[in-house]
Amino acid sequence: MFHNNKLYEPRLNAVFRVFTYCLLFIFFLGVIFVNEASAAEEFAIFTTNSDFRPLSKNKVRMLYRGKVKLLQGKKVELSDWSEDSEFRRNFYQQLLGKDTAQMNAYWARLSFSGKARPPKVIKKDSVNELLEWVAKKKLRIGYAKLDTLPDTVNILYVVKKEKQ
Amino acid sequence: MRLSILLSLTSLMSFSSIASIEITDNLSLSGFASTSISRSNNDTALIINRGIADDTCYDCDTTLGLQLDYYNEAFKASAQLVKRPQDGWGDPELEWAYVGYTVDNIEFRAGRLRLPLFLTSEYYYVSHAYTNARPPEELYNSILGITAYNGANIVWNIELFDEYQLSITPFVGFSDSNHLDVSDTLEVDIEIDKLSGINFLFTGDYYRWNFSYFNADFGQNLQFTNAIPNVPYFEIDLPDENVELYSIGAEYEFGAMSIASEFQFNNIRDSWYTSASYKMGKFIPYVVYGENHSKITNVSTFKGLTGTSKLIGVRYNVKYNLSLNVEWQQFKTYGGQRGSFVGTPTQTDANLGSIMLNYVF
Repeated sequence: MFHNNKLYEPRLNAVFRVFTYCLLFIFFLGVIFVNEASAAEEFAIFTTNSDFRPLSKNKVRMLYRGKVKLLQGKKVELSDWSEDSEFRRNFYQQLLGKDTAQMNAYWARLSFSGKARPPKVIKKDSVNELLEWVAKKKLRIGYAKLDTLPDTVNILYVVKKEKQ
Repeated sequence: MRLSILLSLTSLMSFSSIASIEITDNLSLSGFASTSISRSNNDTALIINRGIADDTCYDCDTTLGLQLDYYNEAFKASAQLVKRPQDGWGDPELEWAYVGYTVDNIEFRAGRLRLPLFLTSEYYYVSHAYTNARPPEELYNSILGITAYNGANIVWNIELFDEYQLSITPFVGFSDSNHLDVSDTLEVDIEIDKLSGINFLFTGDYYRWNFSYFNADFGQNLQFTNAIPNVPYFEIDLPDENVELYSIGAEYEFGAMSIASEFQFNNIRDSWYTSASYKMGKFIPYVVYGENHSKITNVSTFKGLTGTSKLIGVRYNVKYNLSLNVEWQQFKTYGGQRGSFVGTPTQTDANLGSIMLNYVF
């Protein structure tokens, strides 16, 4: 098929053109049908350590993008829900405007360049499991739906509902 | 030996298919893989270390990497074994193996480390981590695709106003050997005597800026086989060479739109690219344009534009950790130079089609 440049150039240019049209078509479909707005929930970022002070939105965004590892001078450990979890999808969409695939690619950058360790995925998607993991060490941080957390936890930030 | 390590690590992959494997609380295994079907319409191969020509190629981009991380408070040890596109399955490369110690915001590392020159340099082999199938050839092969060094670095992370991060990484490297199978007729041995440099990465909420300086003293031996009619073999030895490189690059995200551009200037050639992508659900269409410019040196008498490439492609996120790229790229060379080919082509243009699958765990 490709053995003679001159002979096949018009054909290759046609293929290139068709490929470009296909991409434009996908673009068009995407603009019409893509709706990434997710169900809005209120998520609380919390710890069981009462020494930590509330965080600013910027700080929280930096924390969950792996850019901040220390809070009040201490190295913290983050937890996460499983990749298939709807909580996780909605949390990152609301906090950072990213879907699970984008976050996965983002953490792949950090992890495979040795820059940061991804948040620890808890063994089971349950608030009790998460609370147990967070409570085991003073420097652990988790997130969950605000109304599912007990009053005893120290809430560092609430990811507010976004306008739909 | 290396193969057995790779095989035994690969067998661990079956433990989980969803995320990195936490072997213990302190020890984790993660990995990445890419494979492609690619074909160009030019019999001179394209792209150093990948060598894609006019036969359908099923293994020109095949990459498998496994990374083992050990964390213990401030101490960290990490190793990454990679079957790079140019490696055989039995001969993967230890791309990094280092120990690190963190004091506050400063991490000290020593061992085999990744060269932090450009935005994507440190995860060059992880195609799932960037939008394109391959990092732009013009820039990322500007030092012959060398990605790692033996030495030490310091990573100093500075937080600015709760919102920005500046990461400063000075590095020094010592003796190292690299062998490149550039083409059927040319092999190059590069002996690095010493290298040093510094990288600055400034990260904001929706952008990154990267600046690097790199200097290396090296020697190279070029081995030509059947490169000239009636001369079956000859060598060129260039023992005392120096490369000095500056790079600047930035990447911005504006909602669904991302744009990036990087430039590098060194004493052998300059190159740059610019790219744009637009995310629409699971589809991310993108375009990239790149240029190579040569300078007059002891191995080149040509000054000016040597090659350009235009790329149009789409990435589809099949799953959060599995992505597919379909790309079409047009290459042109000028002034009888090689551009992005591995040697000077008879036909100056090429069209390259690629379908690539990428995975991380």
